[in-house]
Amino acid sequence: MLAQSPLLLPTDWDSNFQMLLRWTHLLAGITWIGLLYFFNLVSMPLLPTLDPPVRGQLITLMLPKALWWFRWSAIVTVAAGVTYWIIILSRDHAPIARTLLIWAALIFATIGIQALLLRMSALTKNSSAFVIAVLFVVGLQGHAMTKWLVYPAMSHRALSIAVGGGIGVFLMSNVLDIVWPAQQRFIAWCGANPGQPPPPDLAAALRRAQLVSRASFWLSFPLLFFMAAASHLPFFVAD
Amino acid sequence: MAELLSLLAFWQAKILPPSDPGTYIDIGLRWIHFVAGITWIGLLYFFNLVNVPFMKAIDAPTKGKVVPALLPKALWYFRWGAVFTVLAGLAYWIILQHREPQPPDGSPGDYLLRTLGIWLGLWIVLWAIEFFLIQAPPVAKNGNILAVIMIVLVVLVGYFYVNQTTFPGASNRVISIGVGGGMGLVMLLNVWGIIWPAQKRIIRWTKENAEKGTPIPPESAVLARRAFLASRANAWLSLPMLFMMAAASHFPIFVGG
Repeated sequence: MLAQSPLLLPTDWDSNFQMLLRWTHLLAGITWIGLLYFFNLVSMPLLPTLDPPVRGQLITLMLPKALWWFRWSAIVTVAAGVTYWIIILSRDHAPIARTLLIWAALIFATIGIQALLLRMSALTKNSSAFVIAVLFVVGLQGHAMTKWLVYPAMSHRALSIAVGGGIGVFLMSNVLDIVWPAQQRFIAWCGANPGQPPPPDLAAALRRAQLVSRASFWLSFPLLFFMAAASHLPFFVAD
Repeated sequence: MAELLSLLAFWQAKILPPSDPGTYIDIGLRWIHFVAGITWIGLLYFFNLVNVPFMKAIDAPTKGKVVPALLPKALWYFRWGAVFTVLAGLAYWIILQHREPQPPDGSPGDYLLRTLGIWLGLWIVLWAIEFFLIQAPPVAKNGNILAVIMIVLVVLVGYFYVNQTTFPGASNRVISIGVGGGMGLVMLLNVWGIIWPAQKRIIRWTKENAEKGTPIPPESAVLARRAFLASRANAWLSLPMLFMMAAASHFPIFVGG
C-alpha cells in the first residue's frame, strides 16, 4: 500500500556546498544569538544582585568562555552567510562588486552613526532612548538598501538577505569593536583587583557595551524575520 | 561608457506584500519557531559549552550561591523556549501536510491522523527507551554506551517513520520535518521529563545547603548525572535535527514514490 521513500542525496558540488554553508550558518548563528539572549535575559539582570566575591568568580571564570563562543560564532555565522549570499548574487547575475561595495558602505555608515550616538550623554543615560535611536538608524540602513542596492530583476531572496545580513554584520561589529574589548578589560581588571569597582573610563566602556548589547537584542528580531522571509515570504519586487 | 552609466543608475525595490492571510500565519509560525528555537538551543549550547566547565572550576560555597541565582532563570527560558518551538513547529507541519497531494487511499484527514499517530508513537517509544536506559548503572556510568544506542535508535526510528508515512508525491519538506521534528520531540521530552525535574530538586537542595546547612542528599549526584547525560544527548541530537530542518526547504533528499 505504502510506497517506500528512497533517499536520493544530491551529488553535485553546488547543492552540497550550499547545504554545508546553511548548516554552519544555522549552528553558529544559534550559538551566537542564543548567547546574546543569555547575556540580555539571564546574566545582565543577575550580575548586580550577586555578592562581590560570587560576582567576581562569574566574571573571571564564566564570562571568558561564554565570550569566546560568542565572538567566534559571530564571525563564523557572518563568514558562512556572506559566502552563501555571494553565491545567490552570482546566480542572480548581480553586479557583485557594486552590490557588495554599497552594502558595506551603508553598514559602515550605520556603525559610524552609532559611534556618534554613543557620545551623546542624553542617549547613553537612557537605554530605551538609545535602543530606539539605533533601531531607527538601522531601519534607514535597510530602507537605503532597497533603494540603492537594487539591480534590475534582483530576486526577493538576494535583497531580503542583504537587509537581514546588513543587520547581522552590524551586530558582529558591535561584538568585536565594542562588547568584547570592554569585557576583556573588565575581566582582566576583576582578576587583578578583586572586589574593586572599575575605573571611570572602563565603567564608561562597560556602559557602552551594555547599551549596544541591548540594541543588538532587539535588532535580532527583524534580522531573523528577513532571514526567514528570504525563502518563505516574498515581498520585495525589483523594477 | 554604458557600464559607467549603469554604475550610476539605481533601481528601486517595491514592497508588494502577499495578499492571502495563510502566508502570514506561515511566516508568523516560522518566526516564533526561529526565535524560540534559538533561545532553547542557544541555552542548550550555553549549558554544554560554558556552564558544565564553569561548574567544575568553582568551589562548593560559590556553587551554593551561583546555582540558585543563575540556573532558575536560565532554565525558565530553556524549558519554555522548548515548548514554544515545538508547538509552533508542529502547527506549521500540520499546515504543510494539508497542502500535500491526495494520498492513494483513505481521506487526507485520516492520513494526517495516521501520520501524526505513527510519528508520536515512534519517537515517544524512542524517548521511553532512553528514559529507562539512563537509569541503568552501566549506561549512567559510561556515556558512550548511551551515545551508541541512541544513534542506532534514531537511525532505526527515522528509517521506519519515513517508510511508514511516505506515499507517492509526498514532499521532501514534510518527510524531512517529520524526521527532524521527531528528534526535536525527543529533545523536548528530555527537557521536561529528565533535565528539569532533576535540576529543580538539585537547585532546591543546593540552596537549602547554602542557607541552612542541610546536607545535600546523595541522590543529587545521581540526578545530576542523568540530567547531564540527557543534556549532552540533546546537544548531539541538535546537529542532525537542524540539518533536517534546513534540508526540509533547501536540500531535497527524500523522494516520495
